[in-house]
Amino acid sequence: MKLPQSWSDITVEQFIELSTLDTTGGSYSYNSEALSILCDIPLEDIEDIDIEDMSDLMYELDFTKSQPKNSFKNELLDLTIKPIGKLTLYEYIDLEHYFASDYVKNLAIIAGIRYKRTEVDKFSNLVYEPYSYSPKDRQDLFLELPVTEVYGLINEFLQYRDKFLKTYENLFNPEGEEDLTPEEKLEMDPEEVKEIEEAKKSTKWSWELMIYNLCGGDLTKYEALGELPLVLVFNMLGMKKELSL
Amino acid sequence: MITILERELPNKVTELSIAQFEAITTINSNEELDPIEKHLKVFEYLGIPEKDFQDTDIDTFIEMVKEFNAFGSKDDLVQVTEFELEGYKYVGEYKLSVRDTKLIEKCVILKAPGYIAEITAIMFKREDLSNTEHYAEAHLKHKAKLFKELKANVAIPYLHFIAQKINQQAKNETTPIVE
Repeated sequence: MKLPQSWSDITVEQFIELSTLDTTGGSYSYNSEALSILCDIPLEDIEDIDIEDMSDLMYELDFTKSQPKNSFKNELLDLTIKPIGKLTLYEYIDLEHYFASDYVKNLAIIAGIRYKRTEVDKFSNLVYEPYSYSPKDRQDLFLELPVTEVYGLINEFLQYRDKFLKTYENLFNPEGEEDLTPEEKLEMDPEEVKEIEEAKKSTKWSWELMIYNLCGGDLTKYEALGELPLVLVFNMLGMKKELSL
Repeated sequence: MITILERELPNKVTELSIAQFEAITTINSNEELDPIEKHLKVFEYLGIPEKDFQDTDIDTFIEMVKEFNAFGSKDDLVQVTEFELEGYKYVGEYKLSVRDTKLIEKCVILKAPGYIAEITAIMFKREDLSNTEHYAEAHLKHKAKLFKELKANVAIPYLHFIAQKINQQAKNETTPIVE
């Protein structure tokens, strides 16, 4: 049995599989399935061994007690990471969607959005391919890579998203929907308040409505709008709101 | 057997069935009951209704409880490693595979009625059957049904063994973290 020595021996696919394991069925059930995934051997073979032997093996996999390092490669598979500050509107919307549904399960798709084919134009600028492909079609490319090569994408986006939501807070908080009052907040558990506020932020905002309004209802403009830089779109929205345009 | 209020009650592990032992264990682990309520429930389960103790003074009741609880004899806990039931030989081993432990863990988490008989059914394998047949869910259920009438001394040493093994393991426990 070949045991992985660190997270860099674990593929994105194995990492995703680990995240789908049922954690409520007991530690022996979880550990045997985790061992089967991490060592890439059938579960039946693990089930035949003595529990002391399994315990020894799990001890060897001590590194799994902590998260992989928060880093990612800038270049992978002839693709280049698109800096997070250069995301287009549609790239950001799709990332939001895949993060909200399950960012570990969707890690390969997320990598598919972030890593691009590139070319250098006649002015020596690096040009990223347009987001005209389905990231799902590219996920297989990333599944066999070591998880350590892309894991940091999660933290980078979460931090960026946090900052982004704070910067454009007023745009994510339309009029007519009341926030929790300070009295209500005091009566509630802080974690609950945080959860409600996060949920309100995501439910209050409708991407479709925003796109519809920005295009003035003209469907032919949808594609061009989606290719605009995210920050530009939100700066424009901010300006519109401030000047009541 | 001991006699309480002119009724004979089983109190030794060689007299109590696995089903009775489980019921008593369940009552004793009920944190909502105080010690006296627990013993009244145990006696009620074994056939003496609570109302029959209405005229019993507390000192007498305490003596009855002491007598009932004085079942501990090392001889009763002789390890049973094989027995015959309905024409089949069952063999138990003081050994835990990952598969055994997963099934036992499930029994302990669910604590469904009959779980001690289910654990005993996992630990004792029918000699003429393959591993595949032994671990078949329907077979284990059927065996648990048969085993619940066996005496508790068959199951208890295995319960001790499992608890000891799992406690040892818990010290080295590692669980992968994926959030």
